[in-house]
Amino acid sequence: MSAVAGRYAKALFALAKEAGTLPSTADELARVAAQASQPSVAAVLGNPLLPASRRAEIAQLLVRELALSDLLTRFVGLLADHQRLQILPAIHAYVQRLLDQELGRVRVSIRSAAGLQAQQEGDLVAAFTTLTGKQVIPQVSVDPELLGGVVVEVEGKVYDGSVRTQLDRLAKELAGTAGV
Amino acid sequence: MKHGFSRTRAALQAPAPVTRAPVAFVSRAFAFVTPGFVTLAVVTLASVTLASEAAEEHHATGIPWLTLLFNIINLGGFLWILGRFVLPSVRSWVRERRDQVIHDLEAAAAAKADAERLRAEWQARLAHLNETIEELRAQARRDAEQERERILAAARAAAEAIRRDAERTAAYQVRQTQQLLRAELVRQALQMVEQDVRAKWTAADQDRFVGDFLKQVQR
Repeated sequence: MSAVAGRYAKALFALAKEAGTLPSTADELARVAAQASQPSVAAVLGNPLLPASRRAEIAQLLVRELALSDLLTRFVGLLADHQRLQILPAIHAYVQRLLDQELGRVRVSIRSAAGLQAQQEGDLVAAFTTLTGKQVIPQVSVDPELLGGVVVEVEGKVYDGSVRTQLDRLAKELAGTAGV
Repeated sequence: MKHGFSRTRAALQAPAPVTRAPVAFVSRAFAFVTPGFVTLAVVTLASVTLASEAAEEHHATGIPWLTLLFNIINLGGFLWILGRFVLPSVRSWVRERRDQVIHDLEAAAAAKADAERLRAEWQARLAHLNETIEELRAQARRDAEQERERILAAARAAAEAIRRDAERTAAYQVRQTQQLLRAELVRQALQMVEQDVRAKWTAADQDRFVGDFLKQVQR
């Protein structure tokens, strides 16, 4: 995440917090970032040869289509003026993190080799709620490459309980033994 | 005139120049000739005077005292001039000549001695020529033997170094090959395990893994 995106995100977060519209602003920002993340749109926004007038038109189109609030309208216009529309997804991620911190919650990525049962997911959420002391928002995904078990990532830390990792570790140990 | 004599005398009394260049020889010749000319001029003048007086008194009788007196004076002047100017130059020339001859004789003796010494030295050398040649041959043989030993030692050292390098290289290649083989074995084993896991992995296994994971997290 770039420092530039961080500066824009902090500014937007502070203004939304002052206005008392943090959740709605975050939702609107998520919708704008989703549009900007689309490959065709991202390619246009990332084109350095795009004229400023054309960028402004795209910004106005986004604002109209998504019926953004006044704060987001001005924010998107500012990004268009500064030719920073392509960093909207990064700004969204940063704002999301700030919002989670503000609300005392943490997003946990849970990758499982097979679909988790509701009980298992609940147990995992409870375990990481206890571990982090924050409200856990699980983002569950299935990854067959893990072969078995789960991998949980929270606040930059990885808790790995997958068969794949155990096999890789075993392979490294055997290879290390071969070098002796 | 007196100044010319002094200079001549000083030149005569000076040490004989070592060089025998033509200029020095001519200068010395002039030094001898100048007093001779003076003497000749005085004698000629006196002779002319006497001749004129003798002509005037040609008809007188008895002992010609005046003529005798003039002759005596003339002879005295001649002898005085000879002793004053000519004799020192002649004496100096003779002394110089004697010194030169002595010097030449000494140089010739020294040269002869040198020649004798060289002759003796070369005779001695010629006498020992065979021994010298034999010594040179022996020295050449010793040098060649030493050179041969040195070359052999260097070759042995090089061969030893090459052998050690070859051993190290071979050992390294053996280790590399072993590692490659072991890695390949590990890869194939893991591949087999992976296929086995995919084929035999059950929901119960997944539940057990998730349960173990939870226990580890909660610990």
